[in-house]
Amino acid sequence: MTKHRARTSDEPALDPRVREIFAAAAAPVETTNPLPGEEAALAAFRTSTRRTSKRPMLSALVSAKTAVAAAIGAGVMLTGGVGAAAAGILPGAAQQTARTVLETVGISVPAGDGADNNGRPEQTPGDRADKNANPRGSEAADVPPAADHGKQVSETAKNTTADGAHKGRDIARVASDGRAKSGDHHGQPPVSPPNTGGTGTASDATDGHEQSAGAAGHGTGTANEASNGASSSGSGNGPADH
Amino acid sequence: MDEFQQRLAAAQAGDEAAFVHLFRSIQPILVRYLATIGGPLAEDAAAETWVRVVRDLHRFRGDEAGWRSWVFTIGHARLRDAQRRAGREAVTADAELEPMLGLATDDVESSVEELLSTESALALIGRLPHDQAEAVLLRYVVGLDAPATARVLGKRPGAVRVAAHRGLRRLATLLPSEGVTDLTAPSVAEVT
Repeated sequence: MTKHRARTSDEPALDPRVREIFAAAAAPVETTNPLPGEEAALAAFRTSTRRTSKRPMLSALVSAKTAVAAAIGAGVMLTGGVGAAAAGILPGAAQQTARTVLETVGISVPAGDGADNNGRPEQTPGDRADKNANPRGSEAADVPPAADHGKQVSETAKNTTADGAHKGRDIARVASDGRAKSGDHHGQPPVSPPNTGGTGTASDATDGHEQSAGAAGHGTGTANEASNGASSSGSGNGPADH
Repeated sequence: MDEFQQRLAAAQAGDEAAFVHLFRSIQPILVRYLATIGGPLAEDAAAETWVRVVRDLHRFRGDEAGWRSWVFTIGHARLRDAQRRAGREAVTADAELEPMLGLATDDVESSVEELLSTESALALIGRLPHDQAEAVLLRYVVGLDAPATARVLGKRPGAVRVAAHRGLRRLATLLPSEGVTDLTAPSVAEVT
């Protein structure tokens, strides 16, 4: 069974008696019956073989389950994403991206809240920055040209035949596009002047329509004008129309 | 692919017959080595050795010499573990060696002569100092070369050569001048 190996080159010359000792110590065992420990080793071998052979099957099963779960997850996410895009509830940029993508496959989805009717995004960050840099925002476009308006007020002040409080009333009405009540008769319920503070208070009272004089090019006496008459500073105790 | 490689591949693929052949090719000499160095701890150490071998068999790559070196490295480590657990020093071969020498019960009668000579030879080697007995057994009984023996023992090849050389010289002094055959009777009487 075991072989006594040939002597290698680095071995010293062995005493013949010592060589006989080694030959006896390495004598082969000739038997067909199981050797001591053979059954236990074979049992361990069988156990190890079964475990090893189960590993690929188990890993393959786990891989298949993982793949199925991933596919289901991807399907749910895709379906949900398309559904959300169809409902137009995605955030602005995402909705626009989904719209662009889905249009390529023939699916029409709304542009979403973040876009105008033509599908354009509502505004880019750069747009916001620009708007923030100009606190007036888009409302500035609704105000008449300041020079023309001031000219009208100036003309009224110069040309009116009224005097005293009536003159002031006429000028205020022009300046406020007819909404100022200065010069009217009193007796109406007093109200607290909505613009008794500084610029911030005026802004609050006018829902943000207050304009800084320098920015609008208005004169300092045109609080009513700048607020479209909502500000009543300098006027009587008439009710603020806002 | 030689015969050993074919058997190894078959065993790694789960072939029991191939594994049994590999087992039988090395188990007797493994048990002799463990019994000579570890005495009564040899049986447990051998069993644990094969548990480790079958566990890592699918990862083994190498030729027959590498296989023997690998198995003996595991066996040596398991014997050291068993000795640490037992808290005792290595013992030389004694009467407990006989049932571990790899003879089935129905072969005893036909192998008495072989048993006696094998047992006496191992008993003689077991009289050597521990490091010399290890080196001599692995080098000249198991058949490993010096580097492989050094790997099994965790030593340098030079240290193994020195130990083996000293063991050979000492072993020669233990032998009576009339030869090994005449040594059998006193050796058997000594171990029994």
